[in-house]
Amino acid sequence: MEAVSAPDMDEIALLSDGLLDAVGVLRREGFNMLLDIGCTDHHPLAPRFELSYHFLRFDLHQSAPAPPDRFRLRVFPRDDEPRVATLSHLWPVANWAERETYDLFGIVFDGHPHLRRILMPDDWKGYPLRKDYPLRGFDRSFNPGGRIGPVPPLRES
Amino acid sequence: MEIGPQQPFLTTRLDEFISWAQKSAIWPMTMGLACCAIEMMSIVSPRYDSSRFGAEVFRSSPRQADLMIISGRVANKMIPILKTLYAQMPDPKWVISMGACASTGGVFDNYAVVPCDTFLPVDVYVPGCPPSPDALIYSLMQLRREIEAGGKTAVLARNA
Repeated sequence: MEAVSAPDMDEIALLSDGLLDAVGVLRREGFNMLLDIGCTDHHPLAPRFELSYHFLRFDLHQSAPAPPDRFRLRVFPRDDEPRVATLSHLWPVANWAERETYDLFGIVFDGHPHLRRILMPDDWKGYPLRKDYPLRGFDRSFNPGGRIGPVPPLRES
Repeated sequence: MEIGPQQPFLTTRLDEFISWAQKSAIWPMTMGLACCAIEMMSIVSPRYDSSRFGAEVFRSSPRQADLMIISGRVANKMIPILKTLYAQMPDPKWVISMGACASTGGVFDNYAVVPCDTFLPVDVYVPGCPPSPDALIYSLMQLRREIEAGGKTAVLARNA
């Protein structure tokens, strides 16, 4: 775990084991809003996946409202079997954000009540926003311009 | 439609009457999927009035419509829904593929957007992103010419 100060807001990078502890600390500090859960695929670099959680601390009872404090949490799950703890029991917004991340990247969220695809059709194979998924998809009856055969290994550019 | 010596007079007149009736009252179905739907909505506005061509009302139920204007990009999650709706439309039915995304995939060269003629028979394609309401009205006129001629090839030959 290391504390890095990014140019726009404070952030911490950690492995997926420490997520629930860090989130508990943040809640005690007063960060009461989870904005969104985003994911980046850095393939072929390692670690491959990077989840970014953005938190907001605002005070509703202030007479003169100030811009809220922001914080970012960067979580790096394992490459081969990416599993992260869910935050849907703490913040309901995490429910669909985690479903979207699972649908497009394949990161499994342990403890999620209803983890299934949300954007792609239910029986879709593959995770489209990974770097080794072809942009045009694979060749199917409704997708004749798609890729035939497996994707060649990516080079580190 | 020419009346030749080998064609009986009454049934020719009946065919003409039927095709006139069909082309004069084409009721579209609301299939506004994306941005092209805005242009499709504007053809019922007073400026580009489509009801003077017979497209009086846009029926939401496929059972009461005979034209499906696919306006917007079609995702592959939408394919079974469109096929179901097309099957629910009674004969005779026509399809206008409006815009670049519905006809060919448009700006989207990816896994998700599908051209609609891979799973539906299309009668008229309208190019544009989005096509102006004039273009959609022109495609409606083209469909009327097609109905009157009884098929596509006669229209192509006549308008060449």
